[in-house]
Amino acid sequence: MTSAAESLSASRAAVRRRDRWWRTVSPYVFISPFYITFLIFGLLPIGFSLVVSLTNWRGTARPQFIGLQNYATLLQDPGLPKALLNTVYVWIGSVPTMIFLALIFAVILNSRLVRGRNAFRTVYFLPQVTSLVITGLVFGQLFSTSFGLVNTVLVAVGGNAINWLADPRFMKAVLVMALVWRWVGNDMVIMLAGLNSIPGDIYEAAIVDGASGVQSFFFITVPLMRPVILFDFVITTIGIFGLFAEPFVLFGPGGGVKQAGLVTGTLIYQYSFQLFKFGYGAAVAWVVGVIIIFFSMLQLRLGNREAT
Amino acid sequence: MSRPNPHQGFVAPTMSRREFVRLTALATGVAALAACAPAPAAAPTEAPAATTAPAAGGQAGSLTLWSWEGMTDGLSTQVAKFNEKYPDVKFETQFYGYDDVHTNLLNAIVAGTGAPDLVVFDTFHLSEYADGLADLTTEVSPIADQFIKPSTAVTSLKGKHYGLPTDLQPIGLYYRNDLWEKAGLKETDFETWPDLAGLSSKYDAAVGGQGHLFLVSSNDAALFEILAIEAGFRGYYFNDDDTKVIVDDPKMVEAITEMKALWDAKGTLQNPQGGYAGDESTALFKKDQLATQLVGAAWLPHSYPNSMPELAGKWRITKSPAIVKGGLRGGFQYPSMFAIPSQSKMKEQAWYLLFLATTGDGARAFRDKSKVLCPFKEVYDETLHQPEDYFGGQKIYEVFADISKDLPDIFYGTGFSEAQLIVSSHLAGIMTGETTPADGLAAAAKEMRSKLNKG
Repeated sequence: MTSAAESLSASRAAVRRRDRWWRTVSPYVFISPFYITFLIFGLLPIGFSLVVSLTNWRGTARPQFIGLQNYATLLQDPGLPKALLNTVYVWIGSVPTMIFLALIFAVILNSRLVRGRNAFRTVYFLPQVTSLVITGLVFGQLFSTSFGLVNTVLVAVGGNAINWLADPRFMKAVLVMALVWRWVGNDMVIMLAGLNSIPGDIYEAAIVDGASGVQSFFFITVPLMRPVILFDFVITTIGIFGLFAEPFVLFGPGGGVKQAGLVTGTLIYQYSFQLFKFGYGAAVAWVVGVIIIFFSMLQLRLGNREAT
Repeated sequence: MSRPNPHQGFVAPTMSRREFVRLTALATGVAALAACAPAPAAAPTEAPAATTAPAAGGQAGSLTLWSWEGMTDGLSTQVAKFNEKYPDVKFETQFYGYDDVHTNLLNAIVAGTGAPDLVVFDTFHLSEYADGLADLTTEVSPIADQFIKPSTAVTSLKGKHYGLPTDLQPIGLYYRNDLWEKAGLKETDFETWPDLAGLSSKYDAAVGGQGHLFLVSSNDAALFEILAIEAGFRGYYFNDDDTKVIVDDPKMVEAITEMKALWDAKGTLQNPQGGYAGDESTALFKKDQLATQLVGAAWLPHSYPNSMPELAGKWRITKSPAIVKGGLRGGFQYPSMFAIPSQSKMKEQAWYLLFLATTGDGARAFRDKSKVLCPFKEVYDETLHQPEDYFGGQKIYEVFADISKDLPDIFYGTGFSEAQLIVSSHLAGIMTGETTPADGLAAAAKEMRSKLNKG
């Protein structure tokens, strides 16, 4: 009898221990898919790329550890400062324009006075779902020197044809136009989401107080949209530093004449997948990654300081 | 002071986050190692001793080729013959874009798996892939003399043969005979590059500024490469044993000074959109605004009739100018080649198909369809005196043969593609006058030496 009771008690204790163990472990089991996926597809490649950046791996032969030699070579590589400078030019040309236009379009399309708002929203978003290759080809055709529509119009109105895709003075301008055209719809959707979170009674109160539409925009919409604008600013900046498809299609992996269309994304591609210098390409990617982190943190800090 | 627990009532986990992360990392690491471990029956790394006349029958299965469109026109005519010998081997071609074939092949070699049994790629990539390709020296050596030089030189590396070439790519000069005649120019009017630069202003005067004799691109190394071969550098950017960079050699400085003179010549079209071939130059040729193609590769007789059919009969080909009187006239571009990745389990069969595609009727069919210059001697000889309607009945292959016979044994050294990009980026500064040829080439050489670890 005593032994049966002890056995039952032991069994219950075991069940309790198992239950307790499961309650302890189960939350981690449920969230583990994210961490395992992140580990395999996020952290491991990042760590691997750091290791690769310290080797001379070219894909086929066994890699050799060369320490910081790739980083030392990178310091003398004229391609990196050129690509960084080009990227900064493109960033300056595109990001403020994109965010400003996105906010304006979002405000207009958020107004109840506009008919067919959904149709307009779709139209503005369409470039986002257009194939990047097609975007590049269309812009290439539009800005072609000999048979492009833009030059045809320029010449028709008495101007001179411009070598848009091969003159370093104009190459980045074409890239900026392609980027703004493609991404403004995406930013507009983010802005629209932000606008919907602003309570309507604030605007009603402003109207009662006699505020005009422009005043409402600058004194209500813009301040309350600051976190959304900052978020958009940061992700667009990260996107610009990782830019690849548009310059690749328009100017090729080498960046075209005088490398005027070379940006950090195409530079990394060029070394890694055109020249198969995986070690060197990884070193470039790490340097660019550190720069992106620095700028993102700077933006966040400045944005938060202004907000407070 | 402790913060209030927002999850009161919930059983607090006793496993720390650190422990969880450690366990997850361990599990993932084990899984990753298991995934990366070699399969028990991994593909052999050494090529078996395939022979030029493999035995009939044998292994059944599927033989896969990776290629871009247009390169299999000869091979496809030989599949029936191949299947007579290997009836149980199913042949399949997987087409990719030009760049994708090259990238995918390297990825497959790096991964150690996934490569096809047979692949087409451009010969200047050979040094990048050689470690992952089957050594075909035993098979190719006995028949190498059946190919026109330097075609088997560019399909070999450091004394080993890795495949067979599909085409030969000497470079000449293409010109619009009608436009040249109208301007009073003849191909005998020039022998050197400075002579040609002189003709540019003459042409400009003849057409009243309404057109250009030629275009010079500032960010394309193609003209540089012609000049390098003419200057005696058969490794383009490198010396004969591929250990030193030669782009700042005084001979190259002289050659690029002549290129700069071409750029500066009155009437030269300076770089419409980079590159020598493409939509822009095609449009200009069609509008009679451009009269000469300076980088006249031997693959253009394939593309020009397709892109400019209306100009049939108006083109002629001649030798490129020389750097100095009596010097070598002509360059060489990059033929394509068939090769067998060492991962292939059907090397014997792949070799037989490769052999059929690049020799005899396979080579003949490819030549007929593509119009490229065939490197297989028997077919080359048949083609030599054949007039081409598109070129006004000119025997263009005789011209190419004339160029080829003087060419040295070309090779593409390690880092060829990178050297090409470096030179391209520095040429722009030289052409636009931002730097002198000597300084620009010195900067290019310095960058090359630093990145390629050469002398």
